[in-house]
Amino acid sequence: MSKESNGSILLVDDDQDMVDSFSRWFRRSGYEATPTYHAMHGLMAAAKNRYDVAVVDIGMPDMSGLELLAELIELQLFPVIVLSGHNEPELKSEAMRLGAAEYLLKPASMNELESAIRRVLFDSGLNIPAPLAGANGSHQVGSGANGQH
Amino acid sequence: MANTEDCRILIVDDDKDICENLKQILTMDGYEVHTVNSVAEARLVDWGKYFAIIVDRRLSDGASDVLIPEIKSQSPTTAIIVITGCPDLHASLKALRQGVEDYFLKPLDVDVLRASLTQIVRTRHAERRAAEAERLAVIGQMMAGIAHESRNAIQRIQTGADMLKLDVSDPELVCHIEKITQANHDLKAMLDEIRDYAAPLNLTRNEVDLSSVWRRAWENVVSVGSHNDANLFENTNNHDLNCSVDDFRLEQVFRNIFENSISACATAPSIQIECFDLNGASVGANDGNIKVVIRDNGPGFAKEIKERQKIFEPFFTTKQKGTGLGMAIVKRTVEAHGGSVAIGDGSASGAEIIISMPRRSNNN
Repeated sequence: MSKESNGSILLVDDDQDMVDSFSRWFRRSGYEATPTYHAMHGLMAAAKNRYDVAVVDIGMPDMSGLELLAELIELQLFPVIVLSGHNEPELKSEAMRLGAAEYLLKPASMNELESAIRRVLFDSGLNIPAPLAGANGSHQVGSGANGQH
Repeated sequence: MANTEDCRILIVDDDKDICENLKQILTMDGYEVHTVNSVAEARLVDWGKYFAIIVDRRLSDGASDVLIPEIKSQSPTTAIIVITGCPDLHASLKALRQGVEDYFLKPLDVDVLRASLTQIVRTRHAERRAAEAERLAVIGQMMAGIAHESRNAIQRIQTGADMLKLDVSDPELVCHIEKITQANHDLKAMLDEIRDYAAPLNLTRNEVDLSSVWRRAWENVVSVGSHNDANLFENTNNHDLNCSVDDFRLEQVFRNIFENSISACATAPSIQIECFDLNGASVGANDGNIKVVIRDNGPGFAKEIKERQKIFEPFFTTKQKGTGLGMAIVKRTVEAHGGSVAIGDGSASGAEIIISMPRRSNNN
């Protein structure tokens, strides 16, 4: 991570338009963003360059996201956030078991995605401001939720 | 008879008396019976209109052995019953190998023939039901696939709107961007519901405390919808609520019910949850069934909705927003757990939903 940058992000998703939009947004927000559109390209970029965090899709044609996740985790280079279109709990459990730092569901707002990145960078000890509150904030549960009446 | 496809029978026999007798008997049973007396006449008939063809093995102008493959080729679903006056093991074996449903000797035992026809009708119904279920499963998979595949497109819309927000400060334009974001959110919610309803429901059961499931659902509903004035009151009487359920799916059940209740209440939604066993006493035993009653302080259901339990029908909704699948998902999920859900007939003025569910899978 350069001094001017909030962090360097490797983006891996076969939806090129989406990755490009992510990339533009993060650059505008002070990050270094590297878009890749194939799992293999993402893996090669990870092996050649240094990133602070990766955001990967879980369903790509050339390699399943879980395979890519396992490979990236094995390299122990940087934390990996999964951004997935799959809402199945077993897939989420498997991703977390493999070592994903976060599991976000598409569609995520850019604020949600950035909050997750900030949390992960903060947890990995990088000099990034403390995580923002979630996009929706936290809300107090109704007063009767835990009582008996 | 269920429909006309299952009531037409063709009799092919050169013995006109047999034709007439069988026609009278089977007509009284409700079948529509046509008769022909030769292979040549039989060939002029559209076999596809008949669910069963009763054919004599030896006809004046040929044998059924010739006719059967022709019928099977042109109308594979038509059942064939062979009748014969000459017991012949080889002939009967050949007929069965040709795919005939039954083979009877003359003089005919009419009751046995009737039983055979009834069985054929039942089998046809079962086959049609299975084909319909398969068709619906394919549609369901397709819908689930569409809902899933649209996530990337929805993500692109979201990201595009977020990008625009970086550059736009004009309040009117910001308002338009917010409308795009909201529409995108609504579309996502609708596709999520369709996917949840259409996708195959494979339960992953975990041992959980049921109250932890509805509390998670409550926290989610209150936080996402910013319903800070909503309150949940529980009456579990400190009893053990452990059960083996798919807590992820069941959380959605409670979420859908809570969302319905909150949207129905004009101000300060107040929702009560009470647990019973199915005999009416509060839950106490570790096994058996749990009954959860959820009441709200809204206007309740109209009489007709209550009587016909309409809210559980897919695409039924009284709201301006939503797919009308929320409560259908509730019903499907609860029934997948071996339970049932109904609108209560309680004296409470608000809506009352009653879920009855076994603590454990009946397959355990």
